[in-house]
Amino acid sequence: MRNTGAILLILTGFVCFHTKLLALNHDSLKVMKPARHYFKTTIYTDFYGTGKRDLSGKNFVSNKLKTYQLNQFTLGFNAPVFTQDFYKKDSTKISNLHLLLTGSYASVSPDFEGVKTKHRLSKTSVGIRVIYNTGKKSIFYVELAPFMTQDNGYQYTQKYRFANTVLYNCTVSKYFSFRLGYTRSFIFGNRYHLPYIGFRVGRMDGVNFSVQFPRSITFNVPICKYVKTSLYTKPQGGLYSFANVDSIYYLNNDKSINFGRYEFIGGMRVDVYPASCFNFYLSAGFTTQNYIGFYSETFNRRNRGIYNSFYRENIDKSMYVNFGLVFKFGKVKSIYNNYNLYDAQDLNNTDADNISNGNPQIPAKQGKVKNVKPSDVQDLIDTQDFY
Amino acid sequence: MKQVYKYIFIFLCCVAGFTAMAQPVSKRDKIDALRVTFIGEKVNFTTQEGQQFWPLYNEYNDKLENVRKSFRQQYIKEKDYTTATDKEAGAYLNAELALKQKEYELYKEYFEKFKKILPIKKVALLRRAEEEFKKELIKNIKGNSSE
Repeated sequence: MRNTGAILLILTGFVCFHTKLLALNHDSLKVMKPARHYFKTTIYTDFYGTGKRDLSGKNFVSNKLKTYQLNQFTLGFNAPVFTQDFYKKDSTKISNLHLLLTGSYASVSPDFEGVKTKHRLSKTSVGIRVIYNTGKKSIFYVELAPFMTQDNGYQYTQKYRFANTVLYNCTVSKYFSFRLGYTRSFIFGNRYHLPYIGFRVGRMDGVNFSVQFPRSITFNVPICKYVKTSLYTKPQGGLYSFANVDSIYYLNNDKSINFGRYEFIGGMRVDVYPASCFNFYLSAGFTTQNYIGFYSETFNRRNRGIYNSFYRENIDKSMYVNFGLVFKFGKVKSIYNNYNLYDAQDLNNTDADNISNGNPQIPAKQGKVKNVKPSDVQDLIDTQDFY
Repeated sequence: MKQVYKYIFIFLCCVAGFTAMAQPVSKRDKIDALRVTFIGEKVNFTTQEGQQFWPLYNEYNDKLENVRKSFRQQYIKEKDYTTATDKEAGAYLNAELALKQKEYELYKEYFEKFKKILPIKKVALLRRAEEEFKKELIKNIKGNSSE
């Protein structure tokens, strides 16, 4: 009976929602609002998994854990909340400020054959991203991403941490840009303060080679408007709270310890853009430089820098698969050939976990348009143009 | 590995479902991208000119498209003026006049701005390129209707 009520409620809601949408569509008094933002609201899901590998068994922890395999699922979003255009004195240069709300939930499942407990480590983040485009060549980018990590099911493992990135991007020309900055990041399985150094050679909307330390090295080749491919390598990892229920840390009675991991993944990625509001990507390759480590809470209590590990191991390489779905919503302002904003789009497409959702808003260069109908171009052509 | 297969299966189902439902990239978007490429090739901007010109040109086109779309949605779309009242017909004509006025104001405002950042010869080339692009589109439409 309760289910029937819920179904009726959903159906009524659905009908009302659609009725309202249809009514809006045919409302002759509706006045169109101009787009306010340059960035679409984005929701993305990402799945990443590696194969099972044997640990060396050289010490107590390694011997206890036996094998290692990892699956990771991420659900994230970024949404523009405030955009402001500024005009320079002669009103010919447009600079703009963008404030975006970002968030993500990552569920990481490291699988150790030697321990009975299945750990699901989560990382929940809500932050902001500020992008300022000077309208000339520069972009200033600030991302603040506080997050909470815990071993699901063990509330006492909750830990709050803070990742951030501050950088300067200079778009020298459409063929070259460079980035300099600072990032406080956990993608190398520990707490690191790193310089951000990057450059791109080649058009953002064409073939380009991009080195962005510490995020990625990519060689991008668009095949057509709907398919882009890339060869890449990038670090993938994190630092997570881990319940010490299996007595992995044996020297103390720590209830909660920290688990750190990273791997360099290298392979090929295919991004497919079937529509302006939806795209997906598939990627596969090998993980190299695989690392896992455990850090004691009590031992590192006064440590403000890099955590010291009581167990660390470099493990064998493995194959990985990575795929994701990306949804984009909202009407946005045009950015054709605005290379500063192409770089801003590129900065906005990677989250604090180094997950990239593609660059669907950067328009690919057009070849030819066939079978044009008058209705497609009624805004561009006056009736008298036909005579 | 079972979990990986499960996720791959769900992913493929989602991709198939969303791709089937998704609206393809509109022809208008393609034409806009083509127009921008066409103009870029014809006018041959320097790097500095391009960096200043394109944000302004995009803004101009967004505003122009917005006023035209508003007019079309309010007065043209699915409206049959053979059965319209005098009041409705009057409102339509007044709105069209207002649209032409707005288009002219935008044109004047932005071409003044373009003149500040581009040599006057390139502003003229821009106008010619826009006209040539229209001709290309008309040729395309005429080609389709004669088939």
